[in-house]
Amino acid sequence: MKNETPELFKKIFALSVIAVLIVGFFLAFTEMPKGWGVNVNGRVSRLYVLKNVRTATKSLDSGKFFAKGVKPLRTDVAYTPIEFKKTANLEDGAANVVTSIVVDYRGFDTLGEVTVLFLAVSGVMMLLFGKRKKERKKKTEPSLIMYVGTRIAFSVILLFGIYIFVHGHLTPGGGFPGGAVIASGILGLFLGRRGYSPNHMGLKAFESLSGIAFVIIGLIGFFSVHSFLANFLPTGIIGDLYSAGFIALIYIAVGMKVGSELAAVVDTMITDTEEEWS
Amino acid sequence: MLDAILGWLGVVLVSIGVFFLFLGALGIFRLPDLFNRLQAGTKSTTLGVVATTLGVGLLAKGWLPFSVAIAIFLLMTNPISSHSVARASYRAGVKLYPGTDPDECAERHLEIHEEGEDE
Repeated sequence: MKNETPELFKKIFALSVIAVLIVGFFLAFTEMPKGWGVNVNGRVSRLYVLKNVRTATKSLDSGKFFAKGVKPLRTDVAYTPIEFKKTANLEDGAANVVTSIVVDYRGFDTLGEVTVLFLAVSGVMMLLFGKRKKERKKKTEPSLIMYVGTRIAFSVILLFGIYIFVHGHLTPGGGFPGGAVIASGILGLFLGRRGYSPNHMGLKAFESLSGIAFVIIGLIGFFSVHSFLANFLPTGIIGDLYSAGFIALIYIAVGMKVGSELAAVVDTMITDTEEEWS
Repeated sequence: MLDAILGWLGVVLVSIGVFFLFLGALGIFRLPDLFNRLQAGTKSTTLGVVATTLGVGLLAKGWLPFSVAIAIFLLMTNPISSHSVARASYRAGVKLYPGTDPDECAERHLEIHEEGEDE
């Protein structure tokens, strides 16, 4: 009675459930209209520091805004409002101002931040590698619910992390939180099974390849635009997924690097107390 | 017309969710031991949060796919996490409330424990 359904059907069923979940979440994340019904006025992007958005927009529309005490930064250029999904060929096409500063104008600083994280991770691994405990901690096997649940949740969490760092130039996310989300999904895999260990060579390859990719993108900018980490791709229309030039590429590299590094830290911290001295 | 109906449905869903979230908070304060509190904290907050997010999705146009995704993710993860917390605390020897008379998990727990030591 227990094993009537063949193993193959069970596997096919599980795979199809996971596939439907992945496709559904992917559609929910990518294909929906952005800002629809949330009343994002395209013209307030420069003015949202002022709390009263409606008055600011109204006075901007009637052309009275700059006469009321607030002086524009440049008076030699006529003011044209920036509108989402319409304005093209900006200096930097990122809809998120912070991302355009962090990755584009201060891209070299972000490279330094990634290096700081790399140094911190190497320090942690050196400290933990030195003293592996001899006694084996007694741990019980997690239940089947935990095992299946973490594996299903991992696919969704991985997809969400990828969404965060791919949309880094549109949303207040980016490579660092995306990588942290992916690492937390891998932590869930650790909790789901006792002897789990990720592919160490794969983690190392991901980490070094994404670090190299960051520098190579910077070098391409150096040779084509004559400045290290300069934007060499078209900026596109503001608000689109394919806009803002190389910011998405750099954030993909940063996300992969941060995710693999934090996963390696989780790996060393968990397996430290489990494995015996060798 | 349809917008008004959907909006009022959203309001009803949000108020149901708020009511159940209140019951969950009350249960965490009033119930005697960890397992009862876990039950109050998980069951009622699962229903409450799911109903609240769905109601918000109906109220604000365009947020429905987001809220359905959040609700599905909560339905997947919330019971699993509470299950693992309850299992770990039972195995760690958290004492039951004396009113919990038949401890049906005890025999099963013994079996599992012996299996675990055989490994």
